[in-house]
Amino acid sequence: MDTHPADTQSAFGFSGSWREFLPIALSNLALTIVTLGVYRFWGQVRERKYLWSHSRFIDAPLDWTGTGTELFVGFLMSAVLFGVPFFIINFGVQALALQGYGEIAGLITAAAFILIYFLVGVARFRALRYRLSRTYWRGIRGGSDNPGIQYGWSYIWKNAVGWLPLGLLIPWSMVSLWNERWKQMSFGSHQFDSTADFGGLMKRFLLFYLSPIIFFVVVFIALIVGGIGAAILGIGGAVFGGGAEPAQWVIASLILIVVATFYLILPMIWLIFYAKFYRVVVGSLTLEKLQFSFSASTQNWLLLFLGDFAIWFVASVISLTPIALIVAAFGLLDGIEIPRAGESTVAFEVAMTAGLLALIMIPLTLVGPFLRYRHWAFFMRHMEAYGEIDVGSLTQSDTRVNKHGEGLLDALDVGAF
Amino acid sequence: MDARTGIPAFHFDGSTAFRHSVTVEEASHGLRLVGDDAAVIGGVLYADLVWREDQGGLPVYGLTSVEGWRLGFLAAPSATMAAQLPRAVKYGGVIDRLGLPAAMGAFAVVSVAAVLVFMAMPQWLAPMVPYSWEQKMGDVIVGDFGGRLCHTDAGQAALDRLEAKLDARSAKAGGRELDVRVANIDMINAVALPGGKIIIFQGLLEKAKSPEELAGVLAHEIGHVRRRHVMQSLLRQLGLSFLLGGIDGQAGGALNTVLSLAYGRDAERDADLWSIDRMAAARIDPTDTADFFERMSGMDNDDTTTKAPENGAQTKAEAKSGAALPKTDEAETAQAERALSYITTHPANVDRTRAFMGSKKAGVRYVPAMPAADWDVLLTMCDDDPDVKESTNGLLF
Repeated sequence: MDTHPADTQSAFGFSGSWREFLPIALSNLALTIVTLGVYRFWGQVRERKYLWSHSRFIDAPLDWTGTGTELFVGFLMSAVLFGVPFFIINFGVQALALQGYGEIAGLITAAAFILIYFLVGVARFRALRYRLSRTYWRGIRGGSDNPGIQYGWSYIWKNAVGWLPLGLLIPWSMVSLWNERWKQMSFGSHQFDSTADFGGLMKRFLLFYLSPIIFFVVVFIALIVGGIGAAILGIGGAVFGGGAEPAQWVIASLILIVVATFYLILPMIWLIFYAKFYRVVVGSLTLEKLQFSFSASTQNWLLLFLGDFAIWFVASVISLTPIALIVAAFGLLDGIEIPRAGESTVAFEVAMTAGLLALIMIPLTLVGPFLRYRHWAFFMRHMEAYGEIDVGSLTQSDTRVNKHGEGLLDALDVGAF
Repeated sequence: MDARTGIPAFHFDGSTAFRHSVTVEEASHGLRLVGDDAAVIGGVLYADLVWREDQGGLPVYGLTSVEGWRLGFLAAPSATMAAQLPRAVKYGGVIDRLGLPAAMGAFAVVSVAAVLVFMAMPQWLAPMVPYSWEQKMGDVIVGDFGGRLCHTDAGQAALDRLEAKLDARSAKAGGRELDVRVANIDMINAVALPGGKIIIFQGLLEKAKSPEELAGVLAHEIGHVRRRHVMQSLLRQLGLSFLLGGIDGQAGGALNTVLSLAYGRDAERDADLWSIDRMAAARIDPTDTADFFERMSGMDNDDTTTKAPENGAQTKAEAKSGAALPKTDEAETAQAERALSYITTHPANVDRTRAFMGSKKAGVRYVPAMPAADWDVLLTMCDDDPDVKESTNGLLF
């Protein structure tokens, strides 16, 4: 029996609603607070179960089967495997530096840096593997039997090659790593294949690559022209008295332009590249007779991130309001009972600061689930697939399933898909 | 029971992606799945089923032994089935059993208890850590302070004599029981490090009005050592970062800092009391130490960290004009500063000034903390040491 992705609509769809998701996010937050963060892992599972089960591929929903215990164990494992050596190295290096063994300290730091880079690579691979192995569709799951060690080394050398020719081969390293990662993955009895080529990405990458250079050349010319202008004005100013002010004003606005360029415009140009990158790499992904594609344009990505930014902004305003009120209250001071010197104030302080902290953190912490929901919905709504899948021949995956989640990735704070 | 009374359902067997249309019938202790052609596909015990999710308000079940196995009802299960089918899971095992509010209450109690235990433990544990361990740790951490420790025989001897005067155990050991050194760093500060190592920064010596002022600060640091505050705070940091490790990055870090700071201030107060006590025993006049804290408050000292900039600026301005202010303003300043002290590591300087001043007793004949000659060689120790490295600001601290 063949199942064709429907001709009229995309093979993927998302049917979640904010009204249903919000109670999950809120109760997760409340439970996370009272358990000092331990519930976080189970909360994550509830979130994913909701998102997955409201995502449709062809005619059946996805099904997340990962558990909180798994994620918790993964977290503990990474804390031990990664945190303890890191802690020791950190202290050891400080001690070595203090005692005058600067070279050895530097060497250890460099080695630690490479090790961390390697671990980031492995973690990326394993996070994808874990998520596929926990994602069921029509009772079938994905996975990989590759432990990702090889990928960790590839991650180091391919990124190095990407950066070495002044960063010009970064698109190659990104595409090559994507291909390497996905070729190792499977779903059920079928192996993924990915044959993306970086050639088509270079035009947009060069736009990103060259724009700061072009920008600085323009600024440099403007400075020279402006300088000549200012010199002329300065002569005029000397005659009329007080000519320094315009120069300061020009410098201030120039700094503003440079900062705005770096933090706003440059990321936007990166988005132009990234939108294409994602279309190219997803577009070259196949699973047997299925061909995937991704439809989001630069404009779609831009709107996604502008929306994220707006959510951050609103949350920040909400969380700053209580601080402003409390600072105002402290201005009055008289109404607040402050323990005198000599008394232990620990309980009072802890209660006060914990309360304040909660007020500040709650709106900001809620941003996380909001953004994850948005990004997942974005991903699902723009994913498409063509071709056919024979559900009779799609049999269960025999890849190994790890009993620990993406702890390493969590610890290193990097995204998976 | 015949097939017509069965409930329609979909079924995945977990070995292929094929979707079976089945009807579900009651069987003994479980369910029977009947295919389109009326052939029985299989049976399953209620005890082996797990609730997976609701799809369109109807339950989907999995099987404990086969991961991809699914049975999704397309119409409501019969009442007898519903009574025996596993219940929906909302938050997870324990929480569903207790109900959300009760579970949250229980978790909160356990969490608060855990924090309290982890906060209090170091006080009990620190004295149990052998002092020799702490000394070794101090050696490893501090080393020679990157060559920034000043040394002349006369200067160090003067410092050792002051140490002996302020500490009974050091007096017995001839003034070398602790390791008090001057570091050529231009900061008005002094620190107690693991293993009884006390570092006085050159900036503090340069700004000190008198040896009595230095004595007050040194006695305070000795207080930290003798009360094992350093080990306590190390243990506390370690314990809290472990306990709060599960909280997402910044919130956990902030909470950790707040809790540690709160205890830090208690330790400072404790060390102040120690200093006041030792100064009185050595008959050293506390006036200059009190004055030192008053000056520090005027400078809005280095560790009054941010948070309320407007308030802080006000405190600074008012404290500077100190004595000239009418009584009420002074009281307000004191209160503002105390309020700020909740977000700093040290007690409010106004309180410290008052505490040191209050310890001064009429009728006591105070003696100089050290002879003028000692004070002179101590002040010039860093200049007189040809080998010491110079540093304008704290290196790694």
